[in-house]
Amino acid sequence: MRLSLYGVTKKFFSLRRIITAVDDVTFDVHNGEFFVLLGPSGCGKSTILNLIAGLEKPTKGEIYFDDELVASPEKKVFLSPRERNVAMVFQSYALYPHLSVFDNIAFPLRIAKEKEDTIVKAINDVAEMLGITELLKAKPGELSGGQRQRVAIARAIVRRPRIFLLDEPLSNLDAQLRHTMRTELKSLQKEIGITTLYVTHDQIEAMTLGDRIAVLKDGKVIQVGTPEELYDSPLNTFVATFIGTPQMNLFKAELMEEDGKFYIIFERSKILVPSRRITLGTFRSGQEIIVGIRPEDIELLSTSEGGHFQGKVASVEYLGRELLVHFTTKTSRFNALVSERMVKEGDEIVARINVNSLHLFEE
Amino acid sequence: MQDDTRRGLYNTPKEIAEAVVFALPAILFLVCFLLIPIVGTFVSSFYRDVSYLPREFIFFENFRRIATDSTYWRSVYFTVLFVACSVAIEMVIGIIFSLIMHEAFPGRGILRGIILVPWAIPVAVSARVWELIYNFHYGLANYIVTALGIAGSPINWFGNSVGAFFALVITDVWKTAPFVAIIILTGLQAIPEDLYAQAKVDGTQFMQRFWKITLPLLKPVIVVALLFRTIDALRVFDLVYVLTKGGPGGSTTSVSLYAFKTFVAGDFGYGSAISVTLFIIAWLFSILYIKSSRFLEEVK
Amino acid sequence: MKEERIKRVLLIVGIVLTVSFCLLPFIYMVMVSFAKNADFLSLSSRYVFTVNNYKEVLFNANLHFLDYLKNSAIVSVVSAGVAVLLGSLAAFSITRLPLPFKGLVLFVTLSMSMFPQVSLVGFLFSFMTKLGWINTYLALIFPYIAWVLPLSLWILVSYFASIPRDIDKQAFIDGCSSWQILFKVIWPLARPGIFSTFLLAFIFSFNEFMFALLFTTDHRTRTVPVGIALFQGLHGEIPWGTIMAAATVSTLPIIVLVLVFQRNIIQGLTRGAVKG
Repeated sequence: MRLSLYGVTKKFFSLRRIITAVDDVTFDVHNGEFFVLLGPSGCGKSTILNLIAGLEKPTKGEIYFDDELVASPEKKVFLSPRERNVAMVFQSYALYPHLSVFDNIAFPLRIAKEKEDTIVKAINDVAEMLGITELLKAKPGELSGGQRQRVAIARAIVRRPRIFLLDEPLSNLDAQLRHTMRTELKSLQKEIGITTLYVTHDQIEAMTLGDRIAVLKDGKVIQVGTPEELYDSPLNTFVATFIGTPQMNLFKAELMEEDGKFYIIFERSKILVPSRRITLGTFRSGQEIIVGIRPEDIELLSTSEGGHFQGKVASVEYLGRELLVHFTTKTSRFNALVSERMVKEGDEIVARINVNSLHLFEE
Repeated sequence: MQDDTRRGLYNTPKEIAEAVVFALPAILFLVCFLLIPIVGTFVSSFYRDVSYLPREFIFFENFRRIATDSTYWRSVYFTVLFVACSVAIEMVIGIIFSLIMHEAFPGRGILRGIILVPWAIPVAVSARVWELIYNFHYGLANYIVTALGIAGSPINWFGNSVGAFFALVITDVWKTAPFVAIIILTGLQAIPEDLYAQAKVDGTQFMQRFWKITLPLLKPVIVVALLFRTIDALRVFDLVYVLTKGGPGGSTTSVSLYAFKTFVAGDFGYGSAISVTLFIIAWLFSILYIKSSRFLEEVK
Repeated sequence: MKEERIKRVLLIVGIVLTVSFCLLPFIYMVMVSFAKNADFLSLSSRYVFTVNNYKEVLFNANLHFLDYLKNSAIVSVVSAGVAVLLGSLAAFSITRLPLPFKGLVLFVTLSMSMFPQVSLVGFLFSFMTKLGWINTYLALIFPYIAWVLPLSLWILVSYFASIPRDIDKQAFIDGCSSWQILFKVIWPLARPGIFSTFLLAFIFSFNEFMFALLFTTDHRTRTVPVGIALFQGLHGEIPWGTIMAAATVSTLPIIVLVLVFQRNIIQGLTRGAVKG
């Protein structure tokens, strides 16, 4: 199923003020795509999910499932979740504590008045697929976090929904389990091919799971793209710093044009910017800009070698295979990810940056 | 479905209608058997409404009569005195009970059950038991009083107004102090243990901890219990009706009982006026109670 | 430690005093109910054991004690049952549905539970007389439902509000209607709360005195509290033994309920009376 949102806005009215949780959001999710809504808490991503599910009504805008209009306040259309045939997995899993695993998974089918033998067959299939056949008789209270997770997913896919909505489903699991579930979830989604919308605040989760990602802030969509696009060409400093760990370094510099070529001036250094990096924006000469460079695109050299600017190592973090070096220049602080273990605290160094990976942003 | 903390922009008439349908049966019952009777009582209080005469609108005449009715003022005097004494004693005993129940010891559950028993059984029934306890010749009360040497000779509980008053107060305390204890216990359980540990480290004594930590932190819940009990004691009826019947000589007639007797005597207008005065006082206290118990926060 | 020891002694003394304070009247009640003469505490008498008082109470049809017990049971169970049912519908509407003016509804309901009964009883009496309901179960059941509804509603609202929202969102997505959410999800989850509410509503109905005193006229509808309160001897002397036997029989079920379900009752009470 293809999902489309056009200008969807959601406002909440409390006694004191009006909160715009979702602000003029437009995007498409292709059939069978794994689409991730990524953003910090309070950015409206869960509200968007609820709007798609039919748990909330938009204040403005239209939501389509394929060509079917499912919500539009202007046209007075609003389909309930039942009519939309959506499935959702909550962060808390929302398993019915009074029902066994079997009855939990059977619940939506029984509400839909399916025949009991179809139900049993459907549940056995889905239980096998998720490896929870042994647990069918247990109550949710007796399960571990990972098992509950699987049951919640089983309950969601057993009804063959048109769209699969997941609201931070992995955030209650420990790091190890989260990693395994991530891989499993991805292959499961590819196997059953249901269009999936996944909400998370964890950028690593978004990057590993999503076919495409929408980055949200303050209820607005900032950028939509594949993980590579977001990583390589962030539209602004918010996306740039939100995606990728360790974070991208940002520093202020002046842009200068000379003989048709662009340079950035930073602490008396003049760095040539490859022209393809410039076309992205509408920059002028003499403009104050923000420059971004990812830690892995900085090389640290000893003072005898030639680099772009000088600095002093403030501290060093061992990340196993690599070193994360924090160093300061006259006006800024930088992080660099290096593999050679030759720097230590207090060292004077020269930094050389990979100019092909420079990101320029307007202030 | 909507989030209660935040209101979405629109709910369709259908959804609102459904919400009303769910709430309607309960609201109907409340309106028919609580709200309309109260309004009816207010209306009646402006009428002369006695069984042998036609109903007649007399405006504030009933209330003017109340102002000069010495029996009414005596019932007010008794009720206020009764509320003050019994509620004060209940609070003290209730706090002591709650401190005991809060300690960890084997059989604590049973003790909590036992403490509920006086509260749970009908007042009319326990009042009969206490009536026998207060019996001048062979009741348990006089047996204990003389055996312990508190009084030289048996007390004639119902023979004089002081004895009757204290008989009522003791019985009421017995019945409701446990209830107060249960309420205060919830307040005690909400005090973090860490605070006591910290205070112990700081070198405080047991009683210091009670005065400096327990009591101040219990204050909100004590206020709630106090108001609740005050409202309840203001309405006192069953106990006096069964135990003293308002005697001797009308000295223990509560406002409730006086209004009730006026109704039974067939004077509905005047009885309504008396009960309206009680209603207004109780209602003012209940506003205070609702405010202090933070009830409405749950929904807002 | 010295302080610990003092505290332990104080605690034991406190427990003993508490238990005797609460139970002494009941022990006395039971003793009198089994005594030939109620005056066994006086010097001129002594304790003689007998079960005649119970025989009298249970088998003397003229006392109508079993009628009272039956009336009380029917009236309280029906009132409490209906109050819990209606209360849970309303509590569901208040906690989960877009009911207009829900704050006002709750506020008014709560202040209603503080009404003095005497300011209702006059009007209700003429109302019941007009309906011809005096001395029928209806005259008690209807006012009782309204009388215990505010408390029931409050306790249930508090229980329902503590059930995570995700659960009923999930049920809504699974295709449940509001009725199905209430009966298939909320009810089973709030079962302890619903049970507590029922117990309290039952106790309050069972203990009610003023309405029953005025709206019933004989053994066909009279309830236990009124029956025992009005129990007088035929020939001057009050038959204490019989009264105490009747009191014992009628309070025994309540005592058992309270001891067995103290946890539920305390939970319900504290949710109904205090928040936070």
